[in-house]
Amino acid sequence: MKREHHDLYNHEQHGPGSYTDSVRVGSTIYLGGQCGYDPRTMKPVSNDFEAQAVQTMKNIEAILGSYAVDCNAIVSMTIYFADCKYFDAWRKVRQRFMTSSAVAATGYVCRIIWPEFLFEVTAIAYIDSAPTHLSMPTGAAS
Amino acid sequence: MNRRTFDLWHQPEYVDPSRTDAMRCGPTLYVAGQSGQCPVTGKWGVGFEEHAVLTWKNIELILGKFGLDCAAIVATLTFVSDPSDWDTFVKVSRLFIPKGITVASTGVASDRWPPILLETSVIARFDCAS
Repeated sequence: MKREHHDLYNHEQHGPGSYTDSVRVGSTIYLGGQCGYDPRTMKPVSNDFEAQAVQTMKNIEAILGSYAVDCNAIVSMTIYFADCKYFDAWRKVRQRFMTSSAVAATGYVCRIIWPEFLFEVTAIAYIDSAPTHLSMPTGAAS
Repeated sequence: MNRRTFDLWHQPEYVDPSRTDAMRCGPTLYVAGQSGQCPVTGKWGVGFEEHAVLTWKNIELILGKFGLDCAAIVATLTFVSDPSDWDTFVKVSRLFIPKGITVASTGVASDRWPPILLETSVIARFDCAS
């Protein structure tokens, strides 16, 4: 099966490397860590968390768009926050971009390698995924 | 779908007994977090670069047990204790990932249990291996 990859930014400009924003194999798209950077400059769009969160989701949307899917194709997401106080703001931003599907999401508080960024997100998307949400049967949790 | 697991060595008692170094399910191989310890001698690397080399050698060894090499890797997640070591990690990674193989990489800074300086987990695919 062929490996396909799409990048927001030409990472080769910084020398030969294997980093890519995304790899698709079959129906699965693996996203590399995304932050709130302007893809033209690779600099953060703002010091404000919400602005970085919106830009991050726009970047993810652009990457997934190159495979002809949107953010609702994301099935799993891991978010690394520089501070836990950002969690609620992140959730609101994510819900604006992921309107028709749930996601298996995990959040951590840690340090970001590039301290000008306030968080980093990695995700797995599935191209054929239909947004079906299975609820816990009544009484099953008791 | 069958699962197949592999471990580099016998896990110490304090490690969750259900933990495994690698799990294959269908076309996907999940390699659990690897670090800079030699699985034969149990010795840790000296300095970050040696930790990074040993980490990649362990990953390479695990992939090899499944008939794969680093060209099958599609995604990596790496935790480094010291963010300033990231560039060294990237440099060492390029020694193991063949040129032209693109990998969706994520790096995060997070304290590890000493003496671990980095930890890398990997997703590899059987259906895009070289």
